[in-house]
Parts: sequence; structure tokens; C-alpha cells
Amino acid sequence: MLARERFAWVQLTALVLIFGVYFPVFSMMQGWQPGPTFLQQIGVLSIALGLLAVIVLVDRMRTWFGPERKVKPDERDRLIEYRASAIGYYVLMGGVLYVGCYLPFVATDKWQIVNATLFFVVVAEVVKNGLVVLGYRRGLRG
Amino acid sequence: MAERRFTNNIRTLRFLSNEMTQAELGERVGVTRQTIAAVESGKYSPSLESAFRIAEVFGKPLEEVFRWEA
Repeated sequence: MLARERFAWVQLTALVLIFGVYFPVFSMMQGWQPGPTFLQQIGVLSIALGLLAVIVLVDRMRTWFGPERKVKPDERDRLIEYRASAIGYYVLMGGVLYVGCYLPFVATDKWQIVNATLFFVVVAEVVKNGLVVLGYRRGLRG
Repeated sequence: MAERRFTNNIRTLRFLSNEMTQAELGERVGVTRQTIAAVESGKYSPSLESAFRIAEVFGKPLEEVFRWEA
């Protein structure tokens, strides 16, 4: 497996696992009486982002310092990356429009905007990495 | 227009070139071994430039390496 494909798998799995826990936990905290403090909320967010950063960094370092560093991306790698990024970009744009043009008028809480932004970034990254994995597994034609 | 499959003889040509490995061919063409494997199995259609380079490695014209499936 190429480092680029493995990296997409790692990122995809990490995003799904970490934010699959983060969003339900954050939502559950909103039901606390009294409500969660700012520090508790930022703490949960920091743990999620910190975990993601560590996983991504460890995998990147494996590539930077391993024998894979010599393998340059070829035309297929670039095409897979380009197609996945293009679709991920549209997902992100949809999210930006929702969060930037609609949510500020209806949101009752600042954290709603923070989490909606995070949600769309995660969805866009999941779509992008999912398409990279699919590109390597199922192939590209045309 | 009916969709036609694009196929190639790379596996045979590698065999006839002293069992050239995918990695060796990839190195000579300037792509990774995985890309050669994907081209061979029909999962990826190479760029025109790479297609010509592959044909050049085997010393064959392009149409002897790549063709439409009958």
C-alpha cells in the first residue's frame, strides 16, 4: 500500500472515530444541569483536535523519516488527489454557505456555529479521504 | 455510443522482456509500481505521455501495447 493511500485510510478512520465520539459527547453535555462551562466545552474540543493532530503527525512522520520519503507522487496519485479534493471542496463550500450565510441568523448559541463549522470540515475531509481510498482501491478511468 | 473497454498487453510484454518486474517498468516509465499494476489490471488509463513511454520501453508501437477490447 502506498503511503498516500495509507495516509488517507488513517485520516478517514481517525476522523470518523474521533468525531463520531466528539459530537455525541458535546451534544450530551448540553443536557447537563447546570450547563457545561466554557472550559469544559473547549476542553472536549481540544482533546478531539489534539488526538487528531497526534495521529496525523505520527503517520506523516513515518513517511517523512521512512523509506517512503523517496517515493514521489506520480500522475495517478495526482489525479486521485485532484478529483477527491475537487469534490471535497464543493462539500466544504456547501458547509461554508450554511454556516456563514444562514446559521448566524438562527443560531441560539455560539457553540452551534463552532460545531457546525467543524462538522462540515470533518464531512469534507471524510468525503475527500474516502474518495482517495476509493480511487486507489477501485481505480480511475477516463 | 457503446462503451468499449481499453485493454493492454503489458503483462505479456513484461514476460517477453525477461520477466521484467512492475517496479522496474515503473522506474523506467517514471511512475510507481502500483500505477503499473493499476494500468495492467485496467483500473487506470495512463496519460498519453506514459502510454508512449511504456511502449518505448518494450520497443513496440503504441497500438501493440494498448488497444480497444474486441
